[in-house]
Amino acid sequence: MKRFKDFSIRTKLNIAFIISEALIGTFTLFFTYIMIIKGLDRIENYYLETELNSVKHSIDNELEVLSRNVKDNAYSDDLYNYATSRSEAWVKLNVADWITRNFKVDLILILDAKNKLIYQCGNFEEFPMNKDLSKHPLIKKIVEFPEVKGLYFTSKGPAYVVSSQIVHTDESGPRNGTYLYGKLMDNARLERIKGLTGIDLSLINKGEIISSTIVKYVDRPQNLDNIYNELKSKKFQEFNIYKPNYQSAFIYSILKDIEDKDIGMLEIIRPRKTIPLVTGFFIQSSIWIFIFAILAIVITIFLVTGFILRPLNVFKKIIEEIQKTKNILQRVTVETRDEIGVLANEFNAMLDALNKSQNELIETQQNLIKAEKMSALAELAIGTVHQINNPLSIVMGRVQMLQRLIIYKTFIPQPDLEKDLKIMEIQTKRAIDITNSLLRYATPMAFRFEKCDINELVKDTLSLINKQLEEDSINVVENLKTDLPFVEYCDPHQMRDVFMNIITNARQAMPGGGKLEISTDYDKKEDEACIKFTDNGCGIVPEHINKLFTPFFSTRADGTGLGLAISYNILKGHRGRIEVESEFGVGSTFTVKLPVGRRS
Amino acid sequence: MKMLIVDDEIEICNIFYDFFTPKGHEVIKATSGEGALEKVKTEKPDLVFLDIRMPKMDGIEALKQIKTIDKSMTVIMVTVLTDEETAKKAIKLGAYDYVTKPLSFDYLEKAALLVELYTKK
Repeated sequence: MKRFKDFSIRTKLNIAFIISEALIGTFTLFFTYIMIIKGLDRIENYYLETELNSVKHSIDNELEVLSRNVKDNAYSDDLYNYATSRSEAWVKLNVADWITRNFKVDLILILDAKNKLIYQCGNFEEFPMNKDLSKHPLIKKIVEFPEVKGLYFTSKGPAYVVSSQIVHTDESGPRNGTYLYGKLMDNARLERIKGLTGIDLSLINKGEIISSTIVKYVDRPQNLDNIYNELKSKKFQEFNIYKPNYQSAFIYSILKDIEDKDIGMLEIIRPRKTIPLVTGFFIQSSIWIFIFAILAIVITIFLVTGFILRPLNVFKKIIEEIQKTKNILQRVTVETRDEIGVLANEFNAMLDALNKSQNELIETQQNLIKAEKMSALAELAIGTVHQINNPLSIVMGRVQMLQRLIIYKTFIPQPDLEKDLKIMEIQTKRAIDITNSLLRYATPMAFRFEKCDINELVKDTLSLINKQLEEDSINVVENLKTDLPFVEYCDPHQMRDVFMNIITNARQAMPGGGKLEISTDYDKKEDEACIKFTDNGCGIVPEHINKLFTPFFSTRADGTGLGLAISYNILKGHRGRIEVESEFGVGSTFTVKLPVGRRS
Repeated sequence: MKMLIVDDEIEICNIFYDFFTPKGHEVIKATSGEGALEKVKTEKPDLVFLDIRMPKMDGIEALKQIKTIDKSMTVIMVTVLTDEETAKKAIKLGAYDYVTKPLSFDYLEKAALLVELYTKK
């Protein structure tokens, strides 16, 4: 799983910007949405209020039309005359039916001056003909005023009630009476209002719906009584708006009758189509806004990071090139003066410093090498002096002695003279050997390579020294690999010298006799022939191991200290190597490793 | 006079032997520092010729040891020219003198004579 810090700067910036955009975007869109919804809510409220007013206006209009008609009738006394003079059936057939048909009136009352009912047509309220009606609240109200129009809650529900006093005089004297039309606010009436205004409405009384234009189920507020009581308690508020869900909105207003008593509530129902519509559209456009915003961010970051990353890539290229070519003279060229520009300058300054210190280092190193070479040369010279000095001292000593004897004319017996000369010969030869070895060490070696059987070479060498080994009672164990491959490039004479040197060293390490094991092997992985010489002699002290191959290092007085140094050079010429393992007092192992094929 | 010659090169010892024996000196040979110490203890020589450059125990170390055995022992260091600094250091440690290789018999004669005179007093 890739961790955040492992991402590229570009990805990191993208992630950071997209997250912040998502947060800001969500926040902004959320608030915009809330504002739009609130606005729509207010508009909805405004419409509800307007619709309420339209409905109220329609009701007023209906009342006005009825009122005008009842007044017309009141001024022409035909109906009144007919009601008093003709039979009730005649009036109903010729007048009342016509009125009810044309004005959809449910009740027609005609009262005389003494408020005695002289004619009744219609059935929504029973007015007994013989009874004094002046106690009836409706009659009480209408006879008080020349004309009345308004609503009245009857036993069959709310109804329009309009009345007009009859002001007419004939020969029998002034006679006053009252006309009254009643019209039930039934479903048909409400439908008419809906037809005019396009608004759905209902009438509610005591929590029950008396009539409504809505036939289908509507999810109204649960407790209509509460709304009613609330409306009553708020004296200054004419209406209450309820929005129980996103399907419908309701506005309630109290209906008053002609006596200014509450007769119920008018309910207007408005479908809420806008909010779900707007929400849907909003979500759709939000998704697009988000997509475009993210695209814009990605493009912007791509461009911005390009500005940042381009100089960084220049940087990277230069660093890579420096790593590859090790050339620290290169410089980063960043033209911007921002942080990266500063960094580039600092980097260049660091390269300058590095270059300077590297040059110093090279100089110091060269000086050191020079000093080392000088000291190596000096050591070689000192070594040579020491090695040659001894035999020369011996020769010189003998010569001086003989000179003295001659000067003092002393008799020198023949055997003494012979002995002295023999010593001088040996020591001079020894000095020549040393200088020859030195020459051999110092001059480049000439190799005569041929294909060699290493086992044969080992056997050859042993045959040369076997006698001495036997004399020193050294037991030689040969452990030669039978199918050892021939070494392609090998100088047999030089290699024999190497083996001889190692065997001689082993012999000298075991003055009291011992065991020398010589084994050969083939290392397939390295393609090398390994020749191992193991003795159980005195071993080498650890501090001497590092000096073994330096010229003139010897622990023996008569050793030149050049044997292993020369062997080392011979093996170097063969692209081989020599390794030593030794434990002081236990023994040593010298391993010669020779490449079988020529190495490139 | 009894003298001890210490040199890892036996032929050097032999020269000393062949030179001093005819002159009536007793010459003992040792080819290592360890051998020298042994001989110093057992033979108690009057004069020691001690080679500085020897494997294992070198002349300086042997000198220190000899001086702990017998502080008055006369020791002449034998060295090559390049070892002169070491030889001077040896004198500070109590060596009587030093002689450089190749050996000068005139010097050896004088030194033996001086030591003989010095030890007789």
